[in-house]
Amino acid sequence: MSLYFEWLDDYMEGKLTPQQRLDFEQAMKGDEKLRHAVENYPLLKQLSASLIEDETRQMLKDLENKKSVPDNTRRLWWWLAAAVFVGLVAYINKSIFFSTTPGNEQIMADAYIKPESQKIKGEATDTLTLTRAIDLFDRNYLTEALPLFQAPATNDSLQTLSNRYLAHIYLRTEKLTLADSLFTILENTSNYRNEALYNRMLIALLLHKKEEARNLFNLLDKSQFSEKQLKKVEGYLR
Amino acid sequence: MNLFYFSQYLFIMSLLYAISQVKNSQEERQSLISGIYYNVTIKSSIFNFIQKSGGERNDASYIFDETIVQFVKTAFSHSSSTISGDLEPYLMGIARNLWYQECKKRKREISLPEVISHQTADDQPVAEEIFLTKERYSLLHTILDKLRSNCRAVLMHWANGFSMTEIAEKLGYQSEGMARKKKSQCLAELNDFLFQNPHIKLQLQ
Repeated sequence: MSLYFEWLDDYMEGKLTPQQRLDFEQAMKGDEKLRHAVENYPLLKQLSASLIEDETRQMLKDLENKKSVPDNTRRLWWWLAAAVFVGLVAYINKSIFFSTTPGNEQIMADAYIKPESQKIKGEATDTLTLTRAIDLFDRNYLTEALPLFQAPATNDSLQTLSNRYLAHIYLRTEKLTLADSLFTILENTSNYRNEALYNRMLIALLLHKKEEARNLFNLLDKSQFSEKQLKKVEGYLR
Repeated sequence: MNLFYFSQYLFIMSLLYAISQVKNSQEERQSLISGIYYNVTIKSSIFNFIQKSGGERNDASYIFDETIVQFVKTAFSHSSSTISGDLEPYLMGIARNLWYQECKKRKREISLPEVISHQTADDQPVAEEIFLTKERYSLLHTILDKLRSNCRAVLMHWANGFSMTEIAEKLGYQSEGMARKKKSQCLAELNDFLFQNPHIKLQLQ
């Protein structure tokens, strides 16, 4: 840009001194753009003046666009919002009344494995008590079996067996913390390790601790379970 | 203030205050324009007048917008501080005048109610200045859109009679000299565009 551009207004308004005027006209001869500016000064000023009109029209256009939203789009938004609301209410109701997530009863029905009936030999009182308790357990008299299993045993082997059944009773009567602590003890025995891990996994599932359940499932010796059973459990672990 | 309430108070706003809002800043202009646009009293007065004078709803809408444009243009370049009266009658005066000019242009015979204006003849907008054709406006917008926003502000103020001191103050330049320099740069930018696009210049002339 020529420095003489700063003199443009004064030149057009006749405010330059005679010497400045001469200098400006001299500069114009060698500067095509400066000459163009002088020749088009009214147009340049008119264009600049119309910037306020341009700005106002843009503001009105924005207001018009804002206003047209309520007529068409806003109505559509209201319908969409209403639909979402109705859907949400329906979903909540469905969750309450027709829950799609499996309940604990369903998990127990599908995944719980009842211990096979077990016969123990011996004529001692504690052995007879345990035999009676197991019999009751097998026939699902859990309340009656419970105090019999809680009676102290005279040796570790019988105590472990009692603990096993107690853990199962606690699990089936939803005393999950008690069940979990007994199965944790049984985890350290060679006979019931796998069964204990499986049931702890089941407890984790019932407590909605899927990550913990998956970890326990990974520790299982899968060969002791049928493929069908494992598939069912895997379904819950997903 | 909430825009809705603000807009409803506009009809008792003094003209002088409205003009100062237009001249003060872009934010205040925007707020005033929105206020007028959403003002039920002003809008219904103009719409009733146009529709009673043989115009359609579209005409009323068009004249309403043009009234705002014309008011902002006039107010922005207005230098007198002695103007009195309220905003609403002034806007009605502009609307009546615009509609009269529009009817003349369309050669439609209508009976205009008596134009009651609170303004002097000098304040009335000139018809030729009012109606830009859509094509011409679109062309103008294309040119003006090339300018950077700070250039737009400087040139807009300069061409509408603001002094360099006022421009420096309003647009935050350190001195009058800085504002003058910026104006020269921006004018040179606009000049360059026209220089390089003589066909556009021809269309504008």
